[in-house]
Amino acid sequence: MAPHTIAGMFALSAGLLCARPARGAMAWLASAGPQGLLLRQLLPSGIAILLATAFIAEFGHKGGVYGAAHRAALELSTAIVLLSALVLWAAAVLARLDAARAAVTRAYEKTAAYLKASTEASVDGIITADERGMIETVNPAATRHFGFTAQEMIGRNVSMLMPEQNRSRLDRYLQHYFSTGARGTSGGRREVRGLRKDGAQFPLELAVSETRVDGHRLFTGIVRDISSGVGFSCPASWQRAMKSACCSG
Amino acid sequence: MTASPHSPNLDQRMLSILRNVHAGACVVLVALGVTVLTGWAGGVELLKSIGPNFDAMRANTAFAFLVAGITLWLLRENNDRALKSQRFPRVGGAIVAAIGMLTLCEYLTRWNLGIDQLLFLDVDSSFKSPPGRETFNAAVGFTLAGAALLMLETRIAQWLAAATALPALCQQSVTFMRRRHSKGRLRL
Repeated sequence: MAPHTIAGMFALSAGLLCARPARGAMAWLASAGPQGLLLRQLLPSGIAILLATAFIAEFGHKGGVYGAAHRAALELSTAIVLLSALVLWAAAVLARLDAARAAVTRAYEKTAAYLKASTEASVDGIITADERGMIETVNPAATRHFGFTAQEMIGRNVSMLMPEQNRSRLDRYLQHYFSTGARGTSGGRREVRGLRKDGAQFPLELAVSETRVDGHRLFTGIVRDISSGVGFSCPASWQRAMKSACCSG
Repeated sequence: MTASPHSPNLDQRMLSILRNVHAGACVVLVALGVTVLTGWAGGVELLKSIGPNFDAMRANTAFAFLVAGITLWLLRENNDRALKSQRFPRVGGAIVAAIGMLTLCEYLTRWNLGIDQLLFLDVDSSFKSPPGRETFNAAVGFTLAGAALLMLETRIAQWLAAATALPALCQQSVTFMRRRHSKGRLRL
C-alpha cells in the first residue's frame, strides 16, 4: 500500500467517524463531561507517547548511542514511565472533576431544600406548566385553593382550573403569544376567576412568569385566593389581615 | 417538583472541530482521487504517485476514494436534500463496497474478474499483486468503508468506520517494523 493510499484510508476512516459527531462513540469524544475530557487528552497522548518513544529509541540506536538490547530496554522503560505519568494525571483530573461535581451537588441540594421549603410553606399557590399549558408541578397551597390533589392536577391542562368561559380565552392568548411573542398575562398581575373541584368559582389574583429550561418555555403561575379580600395589590388589607390573624391567635 | 429530561451535554467547540475534520476528509479524498485519476488519464507518473519516491496509486483505489469523498460530503449532517433522497449516497456506498469486495474475491479465489483494468490499462508488473489490482489491505478497507457508508445511520457504522483504518495501520506498523529490523531501506 502506497503512503498516499494509507493517508487516504486514514482520511476516509476519520471522515466516516466524524460524519455523525453527536452519536455513538463520537458523542463521548465530543462530550463536555469527564469521559470527553479523558478521551480527548488520553487517547492522543497515549498514542503520541508510544510513537515518540519508538522513534527516539530508533534514532539513538541508528546514531550509535546504544545497542539493540539497550534500545529495547530504553523504549520499554520510557513507555512505562510516561504512560504511568499519564494515568496519574488522568486520576488527578478525575479527582478534581469529582470534587467540583460534589460541590455543585451540595449547592444544588441546598437550593432545592430552600425552594421546597419555600414553596411548601407558601400561602400562595404555585403552579408550573409547560408551553402547552400542561401542569408540571403544584405546591400544597395550590391544591388547597382548588380542592384537587397534586396527582389530579399534574399532567392535565391549566384550563381545568378556570371556568368554561375563560378556557377559550387562554387558548387564544397562548396562540397569540407563541405566534407574536407579545406578552399579556406573562409578567403582569391580574384578577381572574378560578374553578374549584366542587365546581364553585372564586376570585383569585394571578401572576405569571416565564423561564426557559432545556430550550423549552416553562410558565410559573402564582395564585392567591382573594375571596377573603386579600390580594397582591392590597398591601394595606394584607397588613390588616396579618394583624388580625396575630391578634386572634 | 418534576424535572425535564436532560439534553446531551456536548462540547460545541469539539463538535465544530469534528465537523471540520469531516469536511477536510471529504476534500482530501476528492482531491486525492481527482489527482491520481488525472495522472492515469494523462499518463503523468508524478500525479499517480503524488511523491517522487512513492509507488503509484491504482486507478480503482483513486476512483473509490473519489466516490467515497463525494458520498461522505452528500451524507453530511445538515444536507437534508441528500439525506431525504438517499439514492446517490446509497449508490456511492455500494460502489465503494463493491470495489472492495470484488477485489477481495479476486484475491481469495485467484480469479480475475476483469475489474482491475476497467478504468485504465495498467501494465506495471513490479508489484506482488497483478497489474491494476489494489492491495489486499486497501480492498479490506474499502469493503468496510462501503458498508459504513451504507449503514451510516446505524450504531455499527462507527465501528466499521474505525475498522476501515485498521488495515492501513497494520500496513504502516509492518513497514515500520521491517525498516527497524533491516539495515537497508525497504519500499513502502
